[in-house]
Amino acid sequence: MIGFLLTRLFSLAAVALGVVSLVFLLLHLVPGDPVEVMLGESATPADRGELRRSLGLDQPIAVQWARYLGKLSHGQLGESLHSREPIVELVTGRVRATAQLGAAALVVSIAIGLPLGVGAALRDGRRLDRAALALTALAMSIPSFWLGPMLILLFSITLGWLPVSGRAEAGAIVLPALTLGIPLAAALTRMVRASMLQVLSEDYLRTARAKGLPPARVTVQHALRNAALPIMTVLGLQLGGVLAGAIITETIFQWPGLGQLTIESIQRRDYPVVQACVLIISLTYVVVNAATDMLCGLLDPRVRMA
Amino acid sequence: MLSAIAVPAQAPLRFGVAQPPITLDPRHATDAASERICRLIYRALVGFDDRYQPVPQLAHWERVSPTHYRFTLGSEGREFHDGTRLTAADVKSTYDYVLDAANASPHRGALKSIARIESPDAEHVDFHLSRPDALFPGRLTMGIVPAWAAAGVSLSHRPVGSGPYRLVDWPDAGTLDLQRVGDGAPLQFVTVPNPTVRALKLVRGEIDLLQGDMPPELLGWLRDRPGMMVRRVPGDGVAYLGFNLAEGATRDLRVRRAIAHAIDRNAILAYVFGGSGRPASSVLRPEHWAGVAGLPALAYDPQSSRELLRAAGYGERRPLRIIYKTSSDPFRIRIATILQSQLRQVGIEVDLRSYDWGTFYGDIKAGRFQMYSLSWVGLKLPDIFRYAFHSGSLPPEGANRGRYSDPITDRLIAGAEVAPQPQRQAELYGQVQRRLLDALPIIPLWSEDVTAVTGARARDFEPATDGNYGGLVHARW
Repeated sequence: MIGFLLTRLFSLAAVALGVVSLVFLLLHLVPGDPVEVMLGESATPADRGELRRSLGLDQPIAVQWARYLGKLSHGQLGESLHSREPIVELVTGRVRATAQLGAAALVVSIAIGLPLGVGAALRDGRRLDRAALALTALAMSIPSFWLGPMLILLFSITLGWLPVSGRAEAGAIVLPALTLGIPLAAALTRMVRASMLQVLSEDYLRTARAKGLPPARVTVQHALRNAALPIMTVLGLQLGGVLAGAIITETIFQWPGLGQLTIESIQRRDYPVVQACVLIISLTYVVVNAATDMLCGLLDPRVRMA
Repeated sequence: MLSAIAVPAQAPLRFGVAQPPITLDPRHATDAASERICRLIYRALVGFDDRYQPVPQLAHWERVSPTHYRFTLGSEGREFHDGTRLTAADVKSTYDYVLDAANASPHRGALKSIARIESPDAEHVDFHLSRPDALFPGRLTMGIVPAWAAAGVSLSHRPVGSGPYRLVDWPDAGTLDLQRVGDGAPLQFVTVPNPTVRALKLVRGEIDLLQGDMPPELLGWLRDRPGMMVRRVPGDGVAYLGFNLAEGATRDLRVRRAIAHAIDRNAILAYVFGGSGRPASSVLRPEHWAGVAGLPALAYDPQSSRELLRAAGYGERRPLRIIYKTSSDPFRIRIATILQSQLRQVGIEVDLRSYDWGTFYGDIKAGRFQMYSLSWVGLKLPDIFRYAFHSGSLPPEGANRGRYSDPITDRLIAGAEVAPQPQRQAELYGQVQRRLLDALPIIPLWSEDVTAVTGARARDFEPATDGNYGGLVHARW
């Protein structure tokens, strides 16, 4: 078991280094000059050269990469090109807001996806199953930039129940969480249904029913428990989806999270901030997947052997 | 008895904006949101009147010699929000900070003619220039900050100015709370990037006012809602088509003229902008002191366009093919598609290519284009003509992106810059604009109006031609 965990942690570190390097390299390949962003177009070439030297941007890319890794290892993400604030301070509050929204979206996803998936599997081929499949296909096809404004029109403008956007008012998290959570719930529903259908045909479940166990106990304790592994994997992957999808949802709902900061920084060509945001999103995805992987290994010895 | 009753605090006026300010330090602010809010928090030495002529704000000035300007501080706006008095030392310190290359201020380039600054007493500041600059007072529009902020103190999130508003709180990027100094009226900027959501928030009363960055169809929808008031003023930004004059088909003046006559500006303004704009013939508005009223319009004349193309050697057998680059902004792509369609009517095949801003702008500066569209916004000084059309202003020295080179234009620009009288300057800049309209290094297209929409609470807010928030100084709520 310890060997399994160490292997996973080692691969996590290797992937993290790869992600950090890739983000660094890609952002240096993207057109746009940070020095011009800072000094404006009217700056003289001499001033640009001077600032480029002082920022170390005149150095070979390998040197810049090594310095970046060195700073990163000390937890330094640098400064914003525009506001000159430490990026750590800029992103701290944003990460909290995104985490809050992501958690709410996952709650929505599980609250809808789990019962609907189980229900659809138990009613395989019947009306509920067909309705669930149709609804989930629709929900997975709707882009969040359309779903968000439609939810606002219904719940904020027509019914007047919830605020349009922002974070200050009570209930402000409901609409962004629904916008982010509904497509995830659709994917989860389908995964739960497929896993449950596979498990429901197993011999041990027939035995459990033959023993006279109540149907609810058979479903929850025996079927759902054994279908949990693929569901957990999907939930782990969904967290990555939540972070990526939050970029659009946060922009629509003026949710001051990491996604909104990423978009703002891209628009401003604030490359160090973009770099930090992409890095945090990527590393979160990597860490959550590794954690899911390890959890699956703990729960099922066959995964450890694979 | 009455004194025991708590008076409810006045609810803030909530102003919906598309972008949050990045910094509230005027020495580093360059984006529109930061600059507009800085203008509320700080006062500058100089402002502009309706014709963009420099007028005294904190100080009036005299030209001691062509390279020496003396500014004398007036009595208004002399108290910083921390209670200290604004003096000549603060002015000197503000500009010394900007001129110090180590501080990497984006405003340093525009002030490079300053050789040194002196403050002989608390009321006077002397600016000594390295060369004559007739437009110099108009360059001193940056907010003045206290001298103690020179020693590496960032005012980015803790601004201290002497303007009509002071900072109350900036809890996150989404909201910024200010307070009017005169009467204590609270104001809140609320960032709502999505225009549809911004309009919906206004309708629901979650914000009270918005200005600009709103598609025409949403403005039409808002206009029809009860309680909404739409106000418009002509904007000073100018959209234009730029050409590569160094190589390819667009070197030929007949081709550029053919393109100009193939574009039906009035139809685009009527049907795409909902009538909220006007055709442009120059990068300066006719109302600008150096602008020209009555410049001939570039008429929509498809027949002339076809004849010009034929004269240039293009026709059905040899159609003119142009690569047209634009940004990935959906509205700009929509406009570009309409232009593509209009040019097709006269036989010009347009290969439309949209790029993300970094790639697009990089290509434009490097001269990797045949035709592109962009806008000049916030132009106050006529030195735009040197910056964008003088042969000595090729990137990276300036923004002559099309590589336009004309000795007569260069001579006229140089003459205007040293002309001592504003009237003579205006006359020479007028000649420059006529020359540019003949040579068409760019085709000025139109100026979009600045539009503000207010809900029931906001009263007496008037939008400004450059989109600044000066209307908040006298607005009531």
